[in-house]
Amino acid sequence: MSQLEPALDLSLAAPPRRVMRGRLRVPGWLLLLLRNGKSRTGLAMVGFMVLIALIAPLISIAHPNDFNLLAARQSPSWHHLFGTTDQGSDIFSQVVLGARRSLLLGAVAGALATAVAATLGITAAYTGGMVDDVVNFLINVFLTIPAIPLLVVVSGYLKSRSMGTMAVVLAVVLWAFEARILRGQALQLKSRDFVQAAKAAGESTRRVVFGELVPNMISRIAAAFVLVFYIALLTDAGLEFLGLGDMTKTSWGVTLYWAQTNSTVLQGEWWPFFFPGAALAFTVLGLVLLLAGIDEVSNPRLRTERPPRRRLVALLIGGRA
Amino acid sequence: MFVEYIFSYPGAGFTLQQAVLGNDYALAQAILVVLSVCVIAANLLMDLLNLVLDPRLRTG
Repeated sequence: MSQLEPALDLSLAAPPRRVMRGRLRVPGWLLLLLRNGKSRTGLAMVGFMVLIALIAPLISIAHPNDFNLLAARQSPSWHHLFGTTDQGSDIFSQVVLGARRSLLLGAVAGALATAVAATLGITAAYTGGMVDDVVNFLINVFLTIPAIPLLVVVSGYLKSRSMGTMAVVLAVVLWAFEARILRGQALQLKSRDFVQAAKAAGESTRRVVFGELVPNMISRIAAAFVLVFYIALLTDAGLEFLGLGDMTKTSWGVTLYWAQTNSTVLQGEWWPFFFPGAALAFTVLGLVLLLAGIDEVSNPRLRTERPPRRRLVALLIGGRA
Repeated sequence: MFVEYIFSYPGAGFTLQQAVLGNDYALAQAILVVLSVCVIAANLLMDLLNLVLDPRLRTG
């Protein structure tokens, strides 16, 4: 039913620019995202992690790399909420402070990759011809080479593994996924009537691209950013886990690396693995939900009608639906 | 790769990681080339199989 009659009565066609909610001013796009259950949950989860990262120095109880051999290998307790490592560092502090580096790196890499992908993808689709062929060839090359081994080899060559270089490396390898999506979307939009009309009316290329194409792709660009954000988050943790990050800093991957290097699980210590891994999984789940929510908001065909709760309960207790 | 690392399974991924950590760039590059060729070959095989299995893709 909902497949045939997309619920267009929701403010999809013209989202309100700003809505007054009590004394708060809420931008229209945020309201759209908050109205969808999936993206609301995702936003809440990601927002929670970002909040933790922001207030990290206030809630971490010790310097993350302080070692104290008397308190080494302790299981989670009220004193050390997430337990301690082999050197006696507090894992709670490591996870909380590590969230800063991990999230920032993912976001920076995602933003860089989005910028590159949007520029190249839209240029290629709009210009067409030779430029399109070259960009498409580049995308194909990057998509064919397996990403993680490539990242491992490239980061092996790096002399400095600061946050900036890691973000650039991740962006260089991951932009192709996004560029393909955005190029396809731009190609599809290019042949639509309103773009043709703008062209026929003699609009300059700049105005057609920034006035007609980009505003209609903004949800795709946002979705692509979230996609690369979580892929970058995962790959970066993976690289650090393999020992290819900056081991003097604190992040989830580094904590996982030391957990593996000290073979903690073999000694029955699950907490150095579990807590950073759970933080990573929580963040990625939040981003995936946000992505699904953005997709649903921007594509009315994916929208599902929510069954009345009464029917669900009846179904569960085996009554008539 | 990650699975090989966790269980210290002696595969290509484990060798690649050890090569990179040991600054053995030639070995690392060679492994990357071999892995890429494997992926490309697998993709080609997939396309060919798809052609055999799906009659819609065949052209006259």
